[in-house]
This record gives sequence, C-alpha cells and structure tokens, in this order.
Amino acid sequence: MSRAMPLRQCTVIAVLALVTAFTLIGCGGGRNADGADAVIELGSLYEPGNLSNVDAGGQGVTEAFSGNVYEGLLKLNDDGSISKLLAKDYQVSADGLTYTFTLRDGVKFHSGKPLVAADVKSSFERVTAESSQAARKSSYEVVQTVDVPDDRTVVFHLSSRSISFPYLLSYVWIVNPQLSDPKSQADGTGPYKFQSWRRGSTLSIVRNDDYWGERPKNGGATFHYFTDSNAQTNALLSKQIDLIVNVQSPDTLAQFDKQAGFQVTEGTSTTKELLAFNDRVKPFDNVLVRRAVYSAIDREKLLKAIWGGRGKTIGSMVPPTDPWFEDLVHLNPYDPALSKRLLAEAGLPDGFTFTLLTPNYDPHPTVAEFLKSELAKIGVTVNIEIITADQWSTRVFEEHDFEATLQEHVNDRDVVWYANPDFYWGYNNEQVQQLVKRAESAETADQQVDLLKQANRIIAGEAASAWLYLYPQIVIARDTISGFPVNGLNSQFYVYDITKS
Amino acid sequence: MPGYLLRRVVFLVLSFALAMLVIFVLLRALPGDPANALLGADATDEQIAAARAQVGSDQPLLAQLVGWIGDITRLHLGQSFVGGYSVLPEIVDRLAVTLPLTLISFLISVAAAGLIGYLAAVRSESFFGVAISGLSQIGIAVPVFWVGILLVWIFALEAGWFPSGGFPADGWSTPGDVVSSLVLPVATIVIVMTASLVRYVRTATLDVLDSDYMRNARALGAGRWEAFLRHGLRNASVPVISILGIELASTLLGAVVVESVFSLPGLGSMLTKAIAQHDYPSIQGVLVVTTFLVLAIGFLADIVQRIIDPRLRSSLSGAQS
Repeated sequence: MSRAMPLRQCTVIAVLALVTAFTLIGCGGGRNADGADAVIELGSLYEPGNLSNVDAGGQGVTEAFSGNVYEGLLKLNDDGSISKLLAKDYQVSADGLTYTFTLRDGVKFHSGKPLVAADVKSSFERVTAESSQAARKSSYEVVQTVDVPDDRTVVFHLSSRSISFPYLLSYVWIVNPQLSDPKSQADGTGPYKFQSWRRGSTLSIVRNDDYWGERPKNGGATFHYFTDSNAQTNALLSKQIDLIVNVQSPDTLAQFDKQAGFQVTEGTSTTKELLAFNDRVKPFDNVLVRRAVYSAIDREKLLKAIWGGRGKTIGSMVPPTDPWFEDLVHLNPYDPALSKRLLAEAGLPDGFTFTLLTPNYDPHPTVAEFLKSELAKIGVTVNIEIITADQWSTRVFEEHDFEATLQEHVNDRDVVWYANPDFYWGYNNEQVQQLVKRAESAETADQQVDLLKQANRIIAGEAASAWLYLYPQIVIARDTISGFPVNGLNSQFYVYDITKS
Repeated sequence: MPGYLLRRVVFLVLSFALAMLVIFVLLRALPGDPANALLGADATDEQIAAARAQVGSDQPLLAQLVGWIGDITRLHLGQSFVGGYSVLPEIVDRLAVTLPLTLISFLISVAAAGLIGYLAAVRSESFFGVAISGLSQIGIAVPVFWVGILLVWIFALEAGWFPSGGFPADGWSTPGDVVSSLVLPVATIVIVMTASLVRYVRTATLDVLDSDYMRNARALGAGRWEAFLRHGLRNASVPVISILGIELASTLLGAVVVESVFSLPGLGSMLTKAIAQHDYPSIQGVLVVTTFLVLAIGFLADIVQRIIDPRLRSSLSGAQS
C-alpha cells in the first residue's frame, strides 16, 4: 500500500507535465502573414562575424545587408551591370580625374537623419581608414581628395584615370556617421532596417516604411544560420525556412530533385575553384610545366563527379558575369598526350613530384584526390598535405611558402590580381601588368573590356593558374516563393523582390 | 566540516587560477595568428599589420597575461576580436540556451536512469533486466549526433510534430516555441545520458541489494522498495553522485554536437566558432566560465557526498561531526 502511493503520485505529476508542455507548444507563436507583409525565412551557412563590411564581417554581412539595409552611390546588379542608386546622377571630367555625384533628394537614414553629402565623404573615409579591412581597399588609393561643395554634391578627385571607379563605389556603404557601433548596430538608407541578431541563430531585417525608393514586396526577412548543411536542408524540408541562399553541397540537390513543392534554380556564380601554382618556384616557374599539368586534368569529369553536371568549366579567372568574359577553355584543353610532350620539352620527360597544400573543407580534399590520380597518368606525383584555413592564410597567403595549392576565389572582376606580382601566386608578366594598368586608365568601358580581354588571353595562355571549374549558384526555394536573385555576385542577396504566396 | 569546507574552497580557487594560466599559455602556444580571421582575400601588408595591432598579437606575452588577469577579477571578459561584442553578455545569452538544455536533460536522465537502473538491478535475472542491460549498451555505443538525426527524421520531417532545429528569434519571450525547439534536443541527450547512467545505477544498486543489512531488513519484514529507500539508497548514491557530477559537467560543452545538429545558439557553438577564428577573448571567456562551472559542480558533488555519507565526513576531516 505504501508502495502504490508514490507510483500514483508520480503518474499524476508526469501527466500534468506532459499536458503543460503540449499546451505551451500549442500556444507557440503563429506563422507569419502572407502576401505583402510576409517575412521571408532564408537559410544560409555564412553567418556574419559582425555587422560591418570594413571590419572583416565576412561574406555573411554582404549577403544580409548589401542593398537591403545599406546602399551605395551606385549598385551592382545581379547581371553584373552597374546602376545609379543613391546618386541621382554623376559627371566625369574629360580627363577622367574628377567625378561629380549629385545625391538624390529626400533620402533618410533609418534613424531619421537626412542624407547629406558629408555622410558620403565620411562613409568613403571609413573604407580607406588605416584600420579598415574592407575588400579592395588598395584600389581606393587612386582617390586623392573628396570634396563636399554643398549638401547634395560629392566630388572625388583621382590621381589617375580609373575606369573601375563607379564599380568600386558600389562597395562603399553609406553609413550614418553618427552610428556609434557599426559592428553590432546598423543605420543605413536601404529598403530594410536591421531589427535584431541572435548570434549563432538568426538575423532579422524589417521593411523600412519610409524608404525613398520602390517599396519592397515583402515585410521583412530573417536569415537563419546553420553550421551543418544537413540541418539546413532539414529546415527547408520541414518548411521552417523558405529558401536556401547558396547551396554548397551537391548531395542536398539529390534530395530536392525528387521532392514536390520545391524549385531548384541554377544561376551563374563568380566562385572559381583553382589549382594555384607558386609561379616563383621550380618547376612551376616554367610555362610549359604549368600548361602540361593543366592539360592533364579532365575538368568535365571532375565537375561531373562533384556537381553532377551543374556548374561550368572555365579556362581563365574571368567568370561569365564579368564584362570581359570570353571562353578560353580551348587554350589549355584536356589532352594528356599534349601534357607529355610539353613536359618533355620542358626537360622533365619522367615527370616530377610536388606537394599540394589542400584546405581541409569541401570540396578541396576531393579535388586533390582527383588531381593526384589524373597527374599520375603523366608521371607527375602529387603529395597531398591537408591544412586548415588558418594555416592557408599564414603559409600560402602571407609567407608564400608552397609549391601548389587549391583554393576557391569568390570575387568578381578579380583577374586584375594577376597584375600584382606580390599576390600569393607570384605571377609576374610585364605585358599583363601594362595592359591592366592601361585598362584601368581607359577612357571608355569598351576600351577597358578590350584591354582586359587581351590581358586575360595571356594569363590563360600561360596557365598562370589552373582554373578548374566555376561553382554553380544554386538557390532552392519552396514553390510559393519567387523574385529571388539567381546569380550570386560577391555574395550579395537582394531580398526586396521576393514574394511569398 | 567547516575546516573541510574552507580547505575545499581554497583548493577550488587554486585550481581555477591554475586552469586560467594553462588556458592562456596553451592558446598562445598554438600555431596561427588571430589576425588571420580579420583578413580578406586581397589583404595588403598594411592591412595585415593593422589587424595584428588590433588583436594585440604584437604585444609581449606577460603584458597580455597581466592585463587579462586584471580583467577577470573585475568580471571584464573583454570584447571579441572579430565580432566586437562584449564577451560576458554574449555568454549569458548562450547560457540561456545551453543551461536549460543541459539541466532539463540532466534531471530527466537522472530520474529515468534512477528508475530504470533500479528495476534492472532488482529484475536482473529476468528477461526485462537483461534487455535493459543490452539496450543501455547500445545507447552508449551510438553516436549522439546519429540519435539526433534519427529523431529529426522521425519526429520533425516525417511526423512534423516538432521543428527540425533552430531556436526562436525572440528567445524565452515565446516559451511555447522554445519548449517546442528543445524537445528533440533534450530527447537526444536524455537517450544517450540515461543509457550511460543506467549502468552505474544498476551496478550500485546490485551491490547494495546483495549486502547483509538489506537482507536483514527484509528478514525483519520490510518490503523490498521500503528497505531500499530507507537503507540502500544512501549507500547506492555515493558512487553515483561522482558520476552525475562528471556527466553534468561534460554535457555543458558536450552539447555542442547536439547544438550543431539542431542549430541551437548555445555555448558549445560559440566556443567552436571562436576557436576557428582564433578569437582569444571569446575562447578565454567561455573557458573561464565553463571551468568555473565544472569546478563548482565537482565541489557541490563532493559536499553532497559528504552530507549523505557520514563515513566520508569523519574519516577525512579528522574531527568528529
């Protein structure tokens, strides 16, 4: 009898606990509104380090904020073109050294402060400041001074012509100079305001109802950050999120190809997988050897093995969305017989051995194994050494202590890095350097395109690196979603046209 | 007892200080520069130098150590190199996820393991007892993330009863959503932890059931359960409490795997991310807090054991209590 009591009491308590739990679950927050006020739930693997793009916030902050919360004078569109945004208009002087921008009227920051020209100047100086870790910072050195003759006009004085200047300006966020902590707070002019950030979990932005431009087609967006791509996939399958911004793992695709209710969209990315040689050291200082190695790799097979037919093979550093793109795959075709001849010509008929520094995250280890087996067929032995991203930064990027390495490069318009002999791959070609310099000082965009194409042909012809393939840019979304960007230039992801029905 | 307590507290403080020194030295002995996390793909030499200056990796070690010790005593855990946020408030936010996850799992596991372990011991000869023993072996052997993925597949994807992961953006202000997001992670940890604890409880209970005083109590007319409660429980708990302390402490950070599978913004994921970025203030901050918690749990376990078991009190402290 005294034994039965505790048991009954336990049962009662257990039942009460379960009932309470289920009631609480049932009282959980309801789902969001549909239509014009819907909140889009996005899944991403790239959480920002912080909310500033000059303090190494990473590609996550570009993804969440560029074009959504912060805007520039000019904007980089999904197809690679540049359009005016906060600049109503701009004039370039005949000698190309003076850019005069006229600001739009009626633009306010989210805090309510009106936008004036001095804000543009301070935003620019934020990027060029000594402590700034902004991308392409060195490119802005071409600007000598920034003048603000009145509240609506900003004048940039350049020390030499720079045809890329408008493009470079699209990276400069116009930030309220009164913002005290840009790493954890935000105050921009964009169609969305920053609402909250729960580190390790979600970042929310809401529609700015006082926006100067076209009203966004939704009420806001919440970025859900995952460290595990399976968890991200499950979240989409269970409809907790509406779309995945940039699918990095090919296995995910297989699951969705069979599922009803989802759409898989493939666009063009700017992310290139490279086998980068150290062009300073033997044997890769010899063009013939580099071309031999490049031609021994069956890139179609590699791409098919990793991405199953998605993505694209490329013959140079230039992705299809850059204005100077041309298909140069034929310059270094897959031809093992050619490879052997080139090696013999270079004085290495019996092949050689080299160490390949391989970052430890996908897809590099797989690519490394593939290269090892392909190059073995022409007598070249590859020793794979796995390193962390951190070691890559130190050994390869800073110390240049490597023979060859694998890396993915996500930027657009980065072929000009081959004109910098101090860049980690150490490619040093006078003619290319001259062409790139002249391209930057070109008077028209067409001239720039022509000169860079010429430079690119040389770089590719000499196999400065072996460009293996272009990653596909894949967005997976529920069928109820439309209006999302399909190309992924530099990780930006404009959410203002996304609708949820 | 007071003498013992005082000695124990002093020992706690000394262990903590030693642990802090070890953490500091080990972190800086690791290869890799914290400045790397701040660099972009096209960083120039000037930007690299600026990043180093910002994280202070160009300062002498002793200066860094002294500065850090001074900060801890004032509870200033510093600011993240990469994120710029204050470390202590962020740790508190993360604990709001990890502590409930860990404590609820722990409590449920202790209750379940206590009951199941006892039954397994009492019915050890029967099929039921053997089955429990076998199942607990399986429970220990399976990796915790596999259990998590299995639960997600069955209850989130197929049945749709619970979310597959994530933590509500509004946190505890929507308690229903929080409970819903924690059910599967808690179940995952409970399954694995219970399996492990069951074996200890079963062994401890078997030992006690075999003893003379239990047999005497039964011979004098006490029921099995009554005899166990009155005489056996205190003896059985002493070894189990040490294990409980260890399990609780290891779950605090061990939950990182569960946090990854379920995308929960807990302490473990803060630590792993900080390690990848060489974000010393965050790493040190999390390690300081968890080391303190682990030492405190060990301390509490010791005290509880002494309270339960009079033999421990008098034999070690020297004085009669």
